[in-house]
Amino acid sequence: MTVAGEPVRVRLSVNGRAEVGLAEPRTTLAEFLREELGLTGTHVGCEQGVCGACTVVVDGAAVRGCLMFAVQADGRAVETVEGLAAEGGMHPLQRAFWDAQALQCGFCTPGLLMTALVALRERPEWTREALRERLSGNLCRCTGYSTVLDAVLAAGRAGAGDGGDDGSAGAGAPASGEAGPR
Amino acid sequence: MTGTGYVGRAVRRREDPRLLAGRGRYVDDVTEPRQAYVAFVRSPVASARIARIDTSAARSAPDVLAVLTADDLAGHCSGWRGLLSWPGMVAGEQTALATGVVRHVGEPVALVVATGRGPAEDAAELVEVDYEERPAVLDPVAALEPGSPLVHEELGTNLCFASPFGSGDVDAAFAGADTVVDVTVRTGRHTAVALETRGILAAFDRDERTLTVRISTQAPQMLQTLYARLLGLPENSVRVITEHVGGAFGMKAFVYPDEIAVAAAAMLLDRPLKWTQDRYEAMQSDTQARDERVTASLALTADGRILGLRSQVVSDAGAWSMYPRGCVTEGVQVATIMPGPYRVPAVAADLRVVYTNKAPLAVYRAVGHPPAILVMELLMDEAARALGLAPDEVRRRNLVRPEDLPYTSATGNVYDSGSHLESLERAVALLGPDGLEERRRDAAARGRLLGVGLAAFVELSAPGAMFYGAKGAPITAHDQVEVTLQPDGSVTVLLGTPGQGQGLHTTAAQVVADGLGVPLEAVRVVSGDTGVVPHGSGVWASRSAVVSAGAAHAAAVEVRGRVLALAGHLLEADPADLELSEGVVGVRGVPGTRVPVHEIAAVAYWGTHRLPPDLEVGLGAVGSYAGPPYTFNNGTHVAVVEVERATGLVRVVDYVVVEDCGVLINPDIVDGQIRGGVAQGLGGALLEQVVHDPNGQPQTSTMLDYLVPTAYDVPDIRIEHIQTPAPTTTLGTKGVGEAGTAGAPAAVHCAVNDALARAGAGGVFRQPIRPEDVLDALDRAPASR
Amino acid sequence: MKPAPFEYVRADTVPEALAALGGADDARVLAGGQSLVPIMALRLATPEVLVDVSRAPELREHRSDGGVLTVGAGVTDRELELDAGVRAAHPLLVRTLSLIAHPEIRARGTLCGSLAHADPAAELPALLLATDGEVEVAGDAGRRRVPAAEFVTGPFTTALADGEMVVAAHLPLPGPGSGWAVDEIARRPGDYALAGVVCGVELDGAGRCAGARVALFGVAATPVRAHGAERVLDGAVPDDAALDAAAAAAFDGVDVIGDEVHASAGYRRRAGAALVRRALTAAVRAAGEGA
Repeated sequence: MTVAGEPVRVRLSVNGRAEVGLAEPRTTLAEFLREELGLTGTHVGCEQGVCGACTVVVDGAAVRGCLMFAVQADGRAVETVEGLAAEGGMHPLQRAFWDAQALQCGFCTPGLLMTALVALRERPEWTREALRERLSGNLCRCTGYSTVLDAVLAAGRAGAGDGGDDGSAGAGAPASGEAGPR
Repeated sequence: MTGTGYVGRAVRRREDPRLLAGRGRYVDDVTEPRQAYVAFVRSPVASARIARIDTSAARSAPDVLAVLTADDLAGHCSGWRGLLSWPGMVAGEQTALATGVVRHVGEPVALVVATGRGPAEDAAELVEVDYEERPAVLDPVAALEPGSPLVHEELGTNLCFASPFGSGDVDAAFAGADTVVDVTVRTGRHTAVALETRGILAAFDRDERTLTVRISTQAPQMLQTLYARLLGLPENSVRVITEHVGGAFGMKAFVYPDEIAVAAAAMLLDRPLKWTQDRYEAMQSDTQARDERVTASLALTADGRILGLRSQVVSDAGAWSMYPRGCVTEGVQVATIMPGPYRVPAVAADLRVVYTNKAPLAVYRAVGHPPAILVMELLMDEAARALGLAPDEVRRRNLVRPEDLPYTSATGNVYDSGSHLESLERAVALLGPDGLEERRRDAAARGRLLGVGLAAFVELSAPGAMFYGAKGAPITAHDQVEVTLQPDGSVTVLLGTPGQGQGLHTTAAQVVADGLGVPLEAVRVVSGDTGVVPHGSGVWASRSAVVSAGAAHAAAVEVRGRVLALAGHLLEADPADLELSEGVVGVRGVPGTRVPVHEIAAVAYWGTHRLPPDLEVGLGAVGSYAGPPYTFNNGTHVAVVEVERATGLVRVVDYVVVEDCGVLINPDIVDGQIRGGVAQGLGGALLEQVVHDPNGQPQTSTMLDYLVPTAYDVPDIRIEHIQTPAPTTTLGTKGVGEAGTAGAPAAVHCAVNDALARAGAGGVFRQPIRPEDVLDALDRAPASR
Repeated sequence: MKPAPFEYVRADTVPEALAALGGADDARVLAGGQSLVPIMALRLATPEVLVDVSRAPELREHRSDGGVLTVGAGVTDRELELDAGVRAAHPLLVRTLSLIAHPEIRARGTLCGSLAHADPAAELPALLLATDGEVEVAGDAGRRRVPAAEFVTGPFTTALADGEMVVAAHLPLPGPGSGWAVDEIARRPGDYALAGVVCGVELDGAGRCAGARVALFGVAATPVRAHGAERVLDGAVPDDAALDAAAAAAFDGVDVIGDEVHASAGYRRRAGAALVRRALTAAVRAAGEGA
């Protein structure tokens, strides 16, 4: 039992690390990740579950971080965009997004990555048409989506659903490798 | 140019690794010590006098630090009028918080500061406001009738601006016409729906008397000037920081009352304040666009040659002329862009811009082009049907030909170059017209009508100082870029104009690497802090690839000249004989002499004892560039749609773009702009619309009600480029950021009407084309099943 | 868009949940929250207490038994959708679930929660209505089963009394010889239906329709049976003419709603009839294949 307006302690695992923080019952998981844990990669775009920008993975399922209260995530295992790649590396999905220019302003990108991650874990092979529908809950206002489809299909071929980063140390450094093969 | 050749290559975007890692810094990602949170009390009614505001309950609510109204901000934040010096234009005086009257649902009335956003919203509910409701003005045509209620009583009229546009003898054209076709078109009221909502984090340093504003905007320097002016600070004491911006599309190019209210409150309360707009607020207070009522007629000869064009445009400005760009640009461009890429000898357009009790109408990607191009292309299709010509043929007979260039439109726009006719021919070829019959049969077997729509267009991009600056707004045409060669040979680029996802750091690096002669990897680009970067006019009107790139090039070339002068001294060679490429200085014709640029640069910084005292050693330079009055890109779009007979649902199944924006700096970035632009245009044609009820209540205040396209709705887009270099710009580039949005609404719409026509049905002449409009059209068709 | 403050109670058993529900004037059950949280964010709902039942072990179960699939109130749509047993036993349910919003919503949203929310545009209440399912309700007075036709009483209102909660739904499995279909019209994938239908047809040995069930959603204040269509089909050979007539009668007696944003009543009626026609064709085909 909580008291309205009073924060309670929430313990959970985020990207494999034990985390603890305080949350009012009304604090959403997305808000908790951002404001209490400082993980601002999860973005909030509508607070209605429509835009998909806040999508995170909870116990293996992609869910809307804005439609789940932090207290409901107590004891759960949460994955966010910050956990996709090992330090200094890039997850194959991230690399595929970079290669395909599957982002512009980048605001919807973390949510799209997490949705795509779960989609590829469900099955690595997607038809383009099925993927359109599978990703239709993540809105992007910049790209027109086709490069996103390109990226996710390429990442599937590269085994992105298996998890782990691609081990290419230094790939995260912005100025390196941008003139790479296309 | 040293010809190392980064310009023209699809290098990967340097912005992306950070964004992909979730380490972007959007406004809401940053927290200041002692930061408090703001929530607004907003008008729940479209039109009312504010009789009383009682903030006492809210003030005493837990966790509340302050509650402010217009009275509290008076004297701390000046009001403004969104006026440009268009003859006869009028605009009411606006204040950060509504003073005495509210004019649209969502207008900010009071501001609550609390220790968290939740408590701030809790307290906002406790602010009691007595509204004396007045009849809302919602129909811009009725608003011009005598006796209509007035949005701004002080103005005595709802007419914001009226003007004719065009030239030539239109009466003679229509009198001599063999055929006249006309259309009456209504386009939906749109809003940008940037995925990142607006937001501001404002902090005031009482000792230094400096205001630091971290804000999601397209134009930091413009805000610096205007915030200083309105808040009574010297401009050197206002610092605007814009790191990552999650989409803007024209909507974030203004002084918004809620944002400057937060800045004023931060100064008053001496406490960092953050306001992150929520989506509900966005749908009610972001600028809106496109809401146009157009009647137009086209006069033609029997063989399909255009003689003249008449149009009446009524633009629904909403309640305010947004500061400082105003609300008339959209309507002016509807009127003046309409002749498009066609040879139209006589044009008479009549524009009226009208205030109503809705959120303000302002610029949104492709400003005015979508309705203008839509109307013209619908007229072309009507002409084709009337004359028994194929849609491409009637266009072919009227498009500007190479021999017509430079061509001056009857509305005064000069097309100095382009490929107007060729883009049509290439688009038709790319579509593959031979396969269409089979695609039609296949669709029919699935209960669907296939339609093909064409849109040939020009897009006014990279406008110069005449556009706004000459009309009194602090919006210039010129940008500055500072390029510095560091002692180790690395290069720092300070970009006056930041981006909102367009990849400007990448393109600037490409331009600088080429212009200076260094490897791309040696270049680091910084932007988005007016305390650090030189002047920039911001991102708007597809200008960066022309203006910002021009400034970057100028700075790079200047630094290169200084490096070579220095190298000439050190190598005892004539600088004219030296070349600098990929970071190495060489002497032409002397293959053995190769000096890394860092050896030269190191001397300029730390080895000046080796240099004569009169040699200029600074290896940093600011490049300025204003560009030509504007550039016009051109192109042709072809949309293929399937219309489901049973439900009226429309799906775009194929899409072709042939675009000519001159020289491409980065083809992938250009293609990204086109694809995203088409998606927004498609949304306008089929999905997006702000709807109000008869009392002016918005009915589309969530993203479940205002529909933006999903991955399912946007087809893959086949793009071809023609590169006709702009004769007037440094690199031969033309702007392109809005071209996709300009052409798509017309192409999609014409495709739907083509599908309907093939079923014997008349067309639809409103956007968005809803399933029910399609069924209505099919039901009216004599040949309907 | 922050919800008003509330107390949060995690109930591990139904009695705990009932106690918490009974202990406040305005307490609401939180299962998946995918409909409740958005309206709380808009402060259209401001419950004092949220009783989270999503982890109660007894509500986390689903089972097929005696031709009925029973789904506990804590079972998510996505769990059902991905469950091999459910996929084999009740493909109509799986197809219906796939029409609801997006997988990320279904990962939290629950079948029972959708029934209790009673959105007129929702798919699952119509499925329950078409297939004669029941809602199992628990309260201080014990448990009762409410037939689908009596459960939804209006838009967003149900037969749940104060202090009661949905603990399970009982979904009869489609029998052999019957064919079922579900279809809807939506502007974009996952959007609320502008018109939707769940229908089933049972064929006798002579190929006549021995029974038809047609339930519409997204067209009226509640999910409704299309009795007009059912009457046309009963005893008829479901040929094109009969299906045309059934579709034409589908909206007889239905009080169709409309709005300016998404679709008028006229559109829902017209396109809905075409949708019924299409779904009936699919159901008849499925019945023929199953026979």
